[in-house]
Amino acid sequence: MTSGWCRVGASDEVDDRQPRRFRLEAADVLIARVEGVLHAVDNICTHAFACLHEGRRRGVRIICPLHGASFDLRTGAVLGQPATEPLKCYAVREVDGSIEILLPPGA
Amino acid sequence: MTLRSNGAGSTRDHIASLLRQRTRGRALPAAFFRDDALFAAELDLIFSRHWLFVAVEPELPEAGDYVALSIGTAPIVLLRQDDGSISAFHNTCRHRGSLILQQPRGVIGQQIVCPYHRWAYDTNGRVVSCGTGGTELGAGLRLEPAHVRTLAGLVFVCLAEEPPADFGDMAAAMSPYLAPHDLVHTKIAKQVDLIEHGNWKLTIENNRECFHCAGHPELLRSLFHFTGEVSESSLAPEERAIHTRYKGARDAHIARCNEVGVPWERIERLSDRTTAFVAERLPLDGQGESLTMDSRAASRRLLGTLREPKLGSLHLHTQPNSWHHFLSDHAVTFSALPIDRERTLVRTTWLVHQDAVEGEDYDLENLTRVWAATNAQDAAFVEGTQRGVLSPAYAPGPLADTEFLVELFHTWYEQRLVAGLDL
Repeated sequence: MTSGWCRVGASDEVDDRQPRRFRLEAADVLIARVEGVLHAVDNICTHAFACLHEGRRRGVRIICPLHGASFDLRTGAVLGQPATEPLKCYAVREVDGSIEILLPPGA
Repeated sequence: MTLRSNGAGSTRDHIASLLRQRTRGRALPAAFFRDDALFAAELDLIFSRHWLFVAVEPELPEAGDYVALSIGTAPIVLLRQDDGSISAFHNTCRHRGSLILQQPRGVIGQQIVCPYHRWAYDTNGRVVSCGTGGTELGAGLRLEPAHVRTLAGLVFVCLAEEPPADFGDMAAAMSPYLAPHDLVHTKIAKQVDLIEHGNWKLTIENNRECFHCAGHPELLRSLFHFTGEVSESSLAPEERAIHTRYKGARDAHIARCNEVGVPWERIERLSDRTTAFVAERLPLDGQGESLTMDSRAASRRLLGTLREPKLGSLHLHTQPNSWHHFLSDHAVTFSALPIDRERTLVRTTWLVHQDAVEGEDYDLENLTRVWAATNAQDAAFVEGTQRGVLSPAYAPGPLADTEFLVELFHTWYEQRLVAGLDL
C-alpha cells in the first residue's frame, strides 16, 4: 500500500471556488483552497454514503448533497446536522507546482 | 379528502348550497369553518389556482439555496438558480413519491437528490440518474414545476397550470411603493412559524379588521385603528382625542411622503380581480417611525437609500394569504397557509437592511416585540372563534362598517369559488 507524500495533481487544478475530488488507490480525497491554502479531507460524508464533491461550497463549509450535513473544509469538523462524526483530514502541501498529500501508513 | 362523492356534480351542488347560506354583511355560517368537502374544494380552487405569497428573496440569497414548504397537502420547494432566478417544484419524487428536500431550508448540491433511492434531478427538475438503477427508468421524467413570480423581493407561487394573468398589474402598481424599501437587499432578522388553531379564513378575517385592536395594546402604541377619511360622527367619545391626533399625523405624513417622494395613496383592488390586493402608506401614532413599543425606528440602519425615518407603515395585503408592513427601518411579512381544516400556519418574517448588525444597529427583542405579542393575541382570537363557531347556538352576526374588508374578503372568496366551479 502507498504511504508517505504522494503527488495527486497540479497546483492549478484546485482554485479557491469549488473543491476538487482526487481518487487514489488508498483514499477518496476532497481538496479545497481556502484563502490560498490547500486543505484535504475525506470525500465521503460520515453520515450516509455520498460524495462531497457533488455538494456545494459556502465559504469554509462543504454541504453534503444528500441530506445537507456540512463540514469545515479546513478541519473536517461537523458544522451542520445530520452528520455527527468529523471527516478525516490529510496533510497536504504544494511542491514545485504539484499537490501532495500525506497518506498515513496502512491507509 | 372526503368530497361528497356521487360524482363531481354533487360536490359542486354542495358548495353552491353552502354559498347560498351566506348572507352579505354577516359573518360566515359555521359550515364554512368545519366542512371537509369545502376545505378540499378550497385547496383546489383557492390555494391551487391563485398567486400565494410564500417567501422573501433574502431567504434564498445564493444559488443552490432552497426553501421547502407545504400548501395544504402539496409540498413545494423554492430553489435559487445559478442565474439568480427562483424556480419552484413539487417536492415529491417521480419514482415512488418520497419527499425529496426534507429540511425546511438548506442548500442543494450540484443536483437535487432524493434521499430514498437516490434518484437525482438537475436544477431544471429533469431526471439525470435513478440511483443504482441507471437512467432509463426515469427517462423523460421531471419534477412537476410550479409558477413563480417575484415582486420587489416578495416571492409568490401558483400551482395552477395557467396562473392568473393579472399578477403583472399588481406588480406594476406596487413596485413604486415597495422600491424605496429595497427588500432584495435586506436580511432575515427573525422568522417565526405560529400554528393558529383555526380555519384559514378566520386567520384572514381577523387580519382584515382593526375592530378588535383594543386587544392589541402593543400594536396600538404606534398603529392608529383608523384608515382613510373618518367621519367624526361615527366616533365614540373616547376615540375623539385619538382621532384628532390621527388627523394631524395624517396631514403631516402625507406632506412628508410627498416631500421624500414615496407613494402613499390607497390602492384598493379587491373586487372583480383574481389577484386582489390593498395597499396604503399609513401614518403612525407617537413618534410615527415604526411599529415598535416606542414608535421609533428599531434599526438605525434604514432600508434602501431612505434617510427619513418617519414614513409611517406601508401596509399591503393580498388575497388569499398575506399581509405586510413596510417601515423605513424594517419590514414584517406574514403568510398564512392552511395545514388542515382547523389549523393554519402563520409565518412571520422580520427583515432589516442587509448591513444592519444585531446588537449594534438593532435590538432583536425591540424589533420583534410588537408583532410577537400581536401574533399571540391574534392566535387566541382565531382559536376562540374556531371553538365558538362550532357551538350549536352560533348564528352569523352582523359585520360592523369598520369590518368592510372582511366583507370584501368574503366577496372575493365567493367569486373565486363560483368561477372555479363554474356556478
